[in-house]
Amino acid sequence: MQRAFKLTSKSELYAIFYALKKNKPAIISLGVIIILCLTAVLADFLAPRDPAEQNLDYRLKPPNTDYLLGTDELGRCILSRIIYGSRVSLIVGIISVSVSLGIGITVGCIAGYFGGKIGTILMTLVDITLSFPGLVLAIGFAALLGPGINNVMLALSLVGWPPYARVIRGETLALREKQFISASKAIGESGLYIVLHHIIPNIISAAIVMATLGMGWAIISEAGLSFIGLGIAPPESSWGLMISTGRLYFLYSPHTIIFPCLFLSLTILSFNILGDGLRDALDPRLRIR
Amino acid sequence: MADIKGYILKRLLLLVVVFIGVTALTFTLMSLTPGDPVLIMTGTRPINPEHLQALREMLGLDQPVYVQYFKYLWRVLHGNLGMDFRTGRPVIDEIMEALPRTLLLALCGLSVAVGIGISVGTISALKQYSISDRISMFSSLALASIPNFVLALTLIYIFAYYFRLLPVAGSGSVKHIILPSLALGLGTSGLIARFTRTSILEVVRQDYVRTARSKGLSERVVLVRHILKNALISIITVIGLQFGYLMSGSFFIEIIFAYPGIGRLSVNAIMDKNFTVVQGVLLVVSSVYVLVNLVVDILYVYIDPRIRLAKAEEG
Repeated sequence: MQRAFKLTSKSELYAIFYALKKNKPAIISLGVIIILCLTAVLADFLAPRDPAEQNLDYRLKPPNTDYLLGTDELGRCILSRIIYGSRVSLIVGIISVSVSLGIGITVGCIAGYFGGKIGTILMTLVDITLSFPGLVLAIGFAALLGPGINNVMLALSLVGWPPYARVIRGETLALREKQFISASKAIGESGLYIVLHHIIPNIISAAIVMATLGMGWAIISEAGLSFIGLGIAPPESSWGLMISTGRLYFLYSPHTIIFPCLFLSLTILSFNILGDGLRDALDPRLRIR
Repeated sequence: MADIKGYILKRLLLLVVVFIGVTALTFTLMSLTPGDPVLIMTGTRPINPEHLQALREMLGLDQPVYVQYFKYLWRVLHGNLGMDFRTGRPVIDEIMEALPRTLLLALCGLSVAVGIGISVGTISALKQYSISDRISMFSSLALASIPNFVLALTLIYIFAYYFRLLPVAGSGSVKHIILPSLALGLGTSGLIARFTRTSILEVVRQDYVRTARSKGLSERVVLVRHILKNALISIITVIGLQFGYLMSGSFFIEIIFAYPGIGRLSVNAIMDKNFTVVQGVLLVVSSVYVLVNLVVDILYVYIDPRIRLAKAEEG
């Protein structure tokens, strides 16, 4: 059953909020994500030290009162590097998911609503891109572009958009047959107007769920790329990079990777739980149960 | 049956289109490589410009891009993926040496994922809303959220360093493949467990399950012959899709465990800016992925009579 009313109506937003409120894990995850966002924004104030500041006399020290989460192989404060690393994870996640979603909505709406030869060409492109394992393709793009945060975001955006396009096209195709779209056409509204004012507001719920789950994928991929040396370049701080360098010392100084691993996994888990919760909250069929 | 053959033929034709697309994409990727490929090949050695030009002509780099692409396609169709300029060996040989090891690792990972995933998912579904259901579903989501390289490092710490039960790295024996398979498969087992649970819960509510119970069949027979058999149909698709994910995952796992597969080959090639190897790996991994998906789709048509009938009507 496709919903034929706008998500933006107050009752609908209230219903989603109410359904989400009952899902405790999702609310806790939302709390974790909000704290993470605040940490990223306030990193300059929260970090006890400069994340690049080295103290070679104080290398690989376990957590203590001076360095709450210990120091790494160059005597840098792990807590400060984790705090600044959250900024990288979130920026990469938000920007690559926004770009992927933007391309996905545009391509999905064109292919789904207008169809025709352009639609067929676009969907063939989607099928071809999806025939690559996503992460392998991202590794290929990142290898060509070279390390750096901008290149990571570009690589993840180039790989990330086809799943959005495919789902949005499916939703658009279903909506196109609805009576309210036929009515809009009958009163002479243009195709672009219908897409912007009737199609997009009705596919936003699917897009929000996909984007939330996509954040988890983007953060895991950034960490993976940084882990194999294709992501964030030193001396910048990224959780994946911290795990990559820390693994050389982790048998004797496990704290070098335990904390970045914990923060990384907790962040991805939170986005996945929230994504699941939102999907349940936004799906009226599940809400009735 | 003829319609099913038609469907398979159509899928094979589509495979040709996808394969051309895959070659076009890998070729474009490499054409966009910043820097002159000849200069990357020769490195920092001083070479006079005439030799550079001769090398460029020998590699066909002086020709228009579309000519280069068709020559590349022609070479690929003849199994020639170029030369690895570091070792002087054909890229296809290097890939063919590493690919079976990666496929073995991916298959072992898949076995771990399927074994754990289906068992946990089934128990969870049969004890819906119980404590064990909640714990196993949360663990599944947590496992699916932990990057496989984090899992790999954790497993090394516990089993190789702390208990000293298994080797830290390398290949060549069954012991060497246990930790990489677990690291690769545990995350996917979480996904399969969640999907199995959903799938079984859908089947459990069907009339034919109620009929099977009401005619006095034992719970075990109902579970194996009526519930699992039907639930597995949709699980197979997810398993097929996960195979590609496991192949990508092996890129990280192979580096951590120094496992000489295709992932380690390509990451080393990336570090050396050895793009012929990277291009070859991308092409081969994608082709394997596409073929696995095709096999899963065809298998799906054969095992699910409803889809077979739908395809026959379409055809």
